[in-house]
Amino acid sequence: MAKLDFPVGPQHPALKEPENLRFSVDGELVVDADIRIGYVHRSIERSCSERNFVQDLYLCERVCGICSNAHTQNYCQAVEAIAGVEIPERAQWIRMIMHEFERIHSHLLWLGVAGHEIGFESLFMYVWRDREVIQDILEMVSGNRGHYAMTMLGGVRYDIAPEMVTKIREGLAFLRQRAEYYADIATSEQTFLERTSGVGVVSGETCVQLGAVGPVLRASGVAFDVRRTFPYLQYDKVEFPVRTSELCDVLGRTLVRVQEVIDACDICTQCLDMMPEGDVNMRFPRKVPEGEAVARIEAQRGEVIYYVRSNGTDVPERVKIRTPTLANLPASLEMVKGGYIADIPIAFASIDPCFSCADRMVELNDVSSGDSRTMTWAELVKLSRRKS
Amino acid sequence: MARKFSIAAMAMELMESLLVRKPATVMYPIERLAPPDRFRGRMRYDPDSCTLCGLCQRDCPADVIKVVRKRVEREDGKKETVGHVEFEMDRCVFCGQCAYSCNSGSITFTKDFELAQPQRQLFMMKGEAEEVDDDACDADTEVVP
Repeated sequence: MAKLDFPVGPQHPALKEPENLRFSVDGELVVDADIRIGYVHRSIERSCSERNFVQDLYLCERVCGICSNAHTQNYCQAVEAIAGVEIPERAQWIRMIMHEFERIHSHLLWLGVAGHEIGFESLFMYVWRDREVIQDILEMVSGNRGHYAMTMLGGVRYDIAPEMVTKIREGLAFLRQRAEYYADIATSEQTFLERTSGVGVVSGETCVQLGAVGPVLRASGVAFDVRRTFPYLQYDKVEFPVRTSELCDVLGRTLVRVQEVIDACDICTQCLDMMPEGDVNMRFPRKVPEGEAVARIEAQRGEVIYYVRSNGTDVPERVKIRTPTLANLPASLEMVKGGYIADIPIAFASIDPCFSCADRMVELNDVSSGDSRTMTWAELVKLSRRKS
Repeated sequence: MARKFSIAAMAMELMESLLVRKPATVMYPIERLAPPDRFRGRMRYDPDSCTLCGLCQRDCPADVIKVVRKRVEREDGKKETVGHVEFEMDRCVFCGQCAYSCNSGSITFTKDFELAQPQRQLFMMKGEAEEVDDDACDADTEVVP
């Protein structure tokens, strides 16, 4: 049978975000795959150089709606490193707690989406109902269900009040119990196993070669977690295992994420136990001294890297962001090769993609001639007015 | 791997969900959930306590706030600074940085979350502030002579 090439997207029903996938198929089997991104480029890095350090905090928070706190934490770590500022210890513990809260909500969100992608709608509804518990906790602590605005330069905005601790502990105990239940489902429910086991396989060696990060890398048997390898905040003081799986497939990625939810609950409990009294923020200089810094943290999707350069003013000269989706995309293409067409949605969803996070640059190329083109600001404004 | 879940257990859970558990959702707008204490809803601006320092304008990431100051001569011949603050609330991202930056507590956020309006003009807020302390004013803010 002759091979067939066909495009999917940028707008298509499998994922909510736009991206253009090109598949080469032989019957039901995917032979080759390629991806083009850049449809949701928002020029965030350039915009950061137009605003002051405080304004950039909220801009970086909007790189991603799901891992918003991870981005602000990473940005703050980089800026605080340039300024040579060490934030109060209690603020570091609260940042850790928020970091793990966000991991719980993100992994549960992903598990629900995975259930939806494989046609297991009841799993989707159960998980998202339980996720409301952590959403309510996030709202109670920070005031918002998303884009928490909790992390700020010099610490965190709000303290965790004593009356909140009881509610948080109750919520974490419930979520831990539910995560154990979902881990049980993932290893015993036949519907789930049939649709995830042996699907989207990529070896650990390939993952390392392609620069995969986060649960994708760990689910291929590579024990790399920034929280353990390069500890930040107070992660060297808490105990948690680096979850890995040798399955290398969607099932392995599911198990790693569900187990990380359980670990995140335990980390939060340890933080609440070990957190000292004290200030949660400090005065931070408006003008950051000249210098540059790189910060890396383990967000829920994988390693996020921020590079910030300051020229001594209150406006950064350069902010560079590397999101985990960009690192995982090459591995995701390997996952779909050799698999069935029907497995493409869940294989791609298994990296927990966020394409609007990943779009850092856009290059305008004429497909037929290969010529590239640069658009001026005036042309972009004119185009946007014409399109809107 | 074999299924562990028996039909009896599933039937028990179904009965429990039908008879004991409350629905996960509420019948909005008949029933409303109470927002938490730290919720950032509709902004409230108090012009009486505002010093027109402009810190809120400088830190706002969405360019919502515009502080306008001008010097006027009073009847006794002395000059004073008056002005107003304009808010384009349709652009607000409710980060709360303005309230955090404000030294006089003039900006607060209420728990009102029903903010939809049929027209953009209805999102515009303007608060007049009179006779402010010149020393508190920030040089970066716009000054109308």
